[in-house]
Amino acid sequence: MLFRSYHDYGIGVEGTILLGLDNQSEDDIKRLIDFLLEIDLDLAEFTVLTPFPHTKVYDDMIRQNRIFDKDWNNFNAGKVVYQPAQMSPERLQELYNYAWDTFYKDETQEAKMFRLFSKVVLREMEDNTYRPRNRGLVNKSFGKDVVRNMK
Amino acid sequence: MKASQEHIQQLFDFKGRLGLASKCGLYIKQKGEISIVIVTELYQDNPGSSITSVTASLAMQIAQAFDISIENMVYIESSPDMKSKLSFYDEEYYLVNFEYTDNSLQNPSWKKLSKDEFKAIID
Repeated sequence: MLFRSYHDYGIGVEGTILLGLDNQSEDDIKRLIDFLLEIDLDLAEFTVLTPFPHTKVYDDMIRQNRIFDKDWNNFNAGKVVYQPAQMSPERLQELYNYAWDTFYKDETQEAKMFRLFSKVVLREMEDNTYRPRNRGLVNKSFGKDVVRNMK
Repeated sequence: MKASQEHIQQLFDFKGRLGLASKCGLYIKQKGEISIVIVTELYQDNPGSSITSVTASLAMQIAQAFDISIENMVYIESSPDMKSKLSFYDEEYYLVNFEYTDNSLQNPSWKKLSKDEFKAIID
């Protein structure tokens, strides 16, 4: 499998997973999450389908009168703002939360990211390509000084 | 991906949401007293609002620009064939009905047309 090949070469794999497509049932979503765990995906980002303006899905849903939430603050890919085809909006919202909780049940997202980053550093050390990161850049963002609330 | 030009006679500039400069494809066919208006979404060639998001306002702008009587206007929205492998981007036509009150169009409702239904309207 392609994933294993990436892992063999020390490359982490992150999946961005879209939930709530019209052809997805509740069962499909649960099986999808099981599959992601089975293939040992390193990181997953779950989002719910969001009909952003000027997209085809927005126009389709307007025509079908399926967008029930017009508060743009909720168009954040984490809140269900439309009527899904195969379940209630509330159920899709639950499945979205279930996806995050289930995928990161044994190890948090931060821990998984840290483990991946550590692997990169160790591999670079083995290859003798490791260069310590400039700690001075920790408080910079796009060349500007920033304050980070790191504990 | 470029939109099919099949039902575009001209480009029409319209005001989208918040007056945003927007553009669509336009085809007007006269059938006796009836004006059949086919409005085509241009996707990436439309810098502003989509035709569907401002349907009622766009229909009104077209009627005013071409002196079309609202009562005699048949208004069709077209999502053109984008030559994509995704069926999502196949050609689609929708007949749009409005409520006409106080000299303005409101509450649009869309009915998807089969190719045969579309041909029957325009032929």
